[in-house]
Amino acid sequence: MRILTDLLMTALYTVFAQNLVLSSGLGMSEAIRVSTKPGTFGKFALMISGFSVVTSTLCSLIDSFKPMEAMPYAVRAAIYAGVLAGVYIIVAAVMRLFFGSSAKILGTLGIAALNTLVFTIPHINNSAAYSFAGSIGSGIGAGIAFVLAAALINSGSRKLAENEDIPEIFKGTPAMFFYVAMLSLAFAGFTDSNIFG
Amino acid sequence: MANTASKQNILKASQIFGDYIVMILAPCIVSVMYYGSRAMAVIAVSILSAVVCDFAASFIIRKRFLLRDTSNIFIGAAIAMMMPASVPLYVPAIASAAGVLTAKIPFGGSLRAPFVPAAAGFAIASVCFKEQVFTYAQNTEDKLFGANSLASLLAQGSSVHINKGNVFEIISGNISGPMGTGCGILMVACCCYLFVRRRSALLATGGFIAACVIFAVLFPRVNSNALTSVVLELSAGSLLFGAVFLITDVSTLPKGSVVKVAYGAVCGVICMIMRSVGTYEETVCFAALMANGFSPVIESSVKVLSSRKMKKGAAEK
Amino acid sequence: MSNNISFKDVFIKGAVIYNPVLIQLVGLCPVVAASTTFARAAMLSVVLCVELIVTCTVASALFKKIPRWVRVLLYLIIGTAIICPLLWYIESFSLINLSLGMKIYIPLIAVNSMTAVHCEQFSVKNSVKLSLYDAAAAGFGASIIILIVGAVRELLANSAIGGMPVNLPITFKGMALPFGCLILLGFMAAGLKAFVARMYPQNSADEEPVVSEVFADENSEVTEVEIFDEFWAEPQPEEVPEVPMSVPEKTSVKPAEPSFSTAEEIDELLKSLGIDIDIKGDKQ
Repeated sequence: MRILTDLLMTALYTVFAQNLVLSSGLGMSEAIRVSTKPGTFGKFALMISGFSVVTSTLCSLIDSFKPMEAMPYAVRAAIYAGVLAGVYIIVAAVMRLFFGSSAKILGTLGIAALNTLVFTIPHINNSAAYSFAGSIGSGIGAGIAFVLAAALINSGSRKLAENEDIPEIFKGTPAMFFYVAMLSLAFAGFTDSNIFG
Repeated sequence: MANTASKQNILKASQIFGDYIVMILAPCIVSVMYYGSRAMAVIAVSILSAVVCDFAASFIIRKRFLLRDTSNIFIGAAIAMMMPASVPLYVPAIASAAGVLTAKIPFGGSLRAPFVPAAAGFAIASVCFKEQVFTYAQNTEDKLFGANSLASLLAQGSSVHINKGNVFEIISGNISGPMGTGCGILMVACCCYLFVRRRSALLATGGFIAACVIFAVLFPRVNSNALTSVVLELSAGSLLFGAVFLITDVSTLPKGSVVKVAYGAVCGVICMIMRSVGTYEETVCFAALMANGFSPVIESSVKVLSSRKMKKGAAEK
Repeated sequence: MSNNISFKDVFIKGAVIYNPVLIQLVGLCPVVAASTTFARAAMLSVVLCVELIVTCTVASALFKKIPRWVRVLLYLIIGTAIICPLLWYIESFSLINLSLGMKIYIPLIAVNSMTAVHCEQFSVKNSVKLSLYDAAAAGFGASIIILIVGAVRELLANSAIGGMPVNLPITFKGMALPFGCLILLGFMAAGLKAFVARMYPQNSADEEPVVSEVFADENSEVTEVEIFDEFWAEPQPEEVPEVPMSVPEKTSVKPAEPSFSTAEEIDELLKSLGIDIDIKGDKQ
């Protein structure tokens, strides 16, 4: 029961209280890009959660080894990158070779795996000293947070596209920046600090 | 052609915001009664800043500025009402400027803004000047809880008891807090005015208050009965003010009765969750911004659900 | 073809007209999340430039025949191979006192979307020399924005520049948060748009929504959504066409409809073959 509560609370915290995309700016470019394809949101949520969970679990296991405690952060980061790369190549190769996945699905897999959001999850778990269940919760939460941000940006970009009154100078990226800024400001109501200071 | 459309928009905006200005006059008068010339100064600076920023921005982007666009007056007055009377004057000035420059001008005016400019301005001020915005030091000697606002007492989990002696002080807003938002009686009067002028907007207000009431009953922050929890939560901070003035904003309010109620309810739930776990004692502005962001999602979800229901009903027939 | 393009052309387009951060919306993480002070911004800029230039050059020289799903992984490996030793060197010899935040944000540049986009859209389709130009231009354009953002945020949030205190009567704590940076980027993007409209009117944006401006190829009529697919899809084998620039062209968000002339041409072709099928759908 405690494990489940731990998992749920961490996931909720990652989605709302510290939305990693809108409150922390992680994976924001990818969220804006993915927001143009609402049909892929489900796939993305699943893939990002999957990659985050597997990567952060493996990294947590590695972190539990004694020599890792004294390891410089550069080495730790390289190990995390190696784990992420390994997980990606195994999943992509299995999907390509055994399931004959199309290039499109592999493309989605590439964005879902190799982005700043997924790469940060092991770092967050390490710095926040999350438990094993907490690590899984933060991984699941990362996927949901990403899709939530993408869905909000998607509805915003549609609103902006329909708005003919936007002054010429603000049309396009400037208006989008302001829109995302307002979303980010809304999430600042939960927390007023940067994730890593 | 575009100029004509723009003029029509400004006329429409001036009519709609004219109603809101009439409504906000009442809290402005009450705040002057409670805090005197200091309240007047805060209101004047806030409005002036909004108007000047709109004028300057319109000049820079070569857009025609018309004084008839009364939305700036509303933005300035609404932000001033949510501020404490003791706030340094630069804070409401910056808040109004931020509201106009970040949530109104880039989106083509108040009638097309996807986020409530007054909420954006106050939220920015809350984050940037937290101490100044949540410190109540004006005329606090004879107030019920001294310099403590009701919202801060609830946030600290302090026990506040309502009795016949203090209930009127609480619902009339004669306690430390934002200078023009605490008077519940006035907010009810504003609702009556809104009922006459734009009654559909009240659906969102209803949804918002209902959600807050349910939340206050289920998760009370005071060790008292449910009714006390509800009265205190509704009277604390700018909750009712937000329900009447921010949630009903014409450009951000979704279309459809059910959608409006759902939008208000979502906003209410977010507001109460933020009050419970968030960093700030005043959360209605953040909740309004978040609900604005969720608004298209709520709209499409309600539509999908209702169409499914209709299909099911048709199939059963 | 590559000889006709000067470094100046590539530079103006890559760094100014299609600035990676303000116009293409790539590489936002280091800007929004990490560049809260000038010192941080300077460090991120240097690392970003080095990583971008090396990865793009290597990609152009070696990765043209490798499938895309493997290439994106190689960008991560190259990025890590550059960044982690650099970070280790700084950490070990205490050259700069790095906060925990920077120790985390610097390695994140290895999975930066800017690298993947520039490598995929330009480097693997062009010569090493042009790729180098493009990477340098994009790196410079992004670095300037990161430095400005870092300086302004530090000044407004902490009343300092480069750690030196500046006497400002008011500080804005919100500037250190992502929303403050995004508001600043919004104003900067508007300023850049006005500058480009004035200085390079032939390249100035018309009135497309933001997402359409991100990843379009020059001389193509495909939409952003299609380019999104195309970017992450498997490349066509063998032929590696030389395209002049990686810069995006204004397109619409809506999926491209087949042009009238194309339908007409197909109709005519079918008629010449004796097949009477209505391609445009206007016959009963």
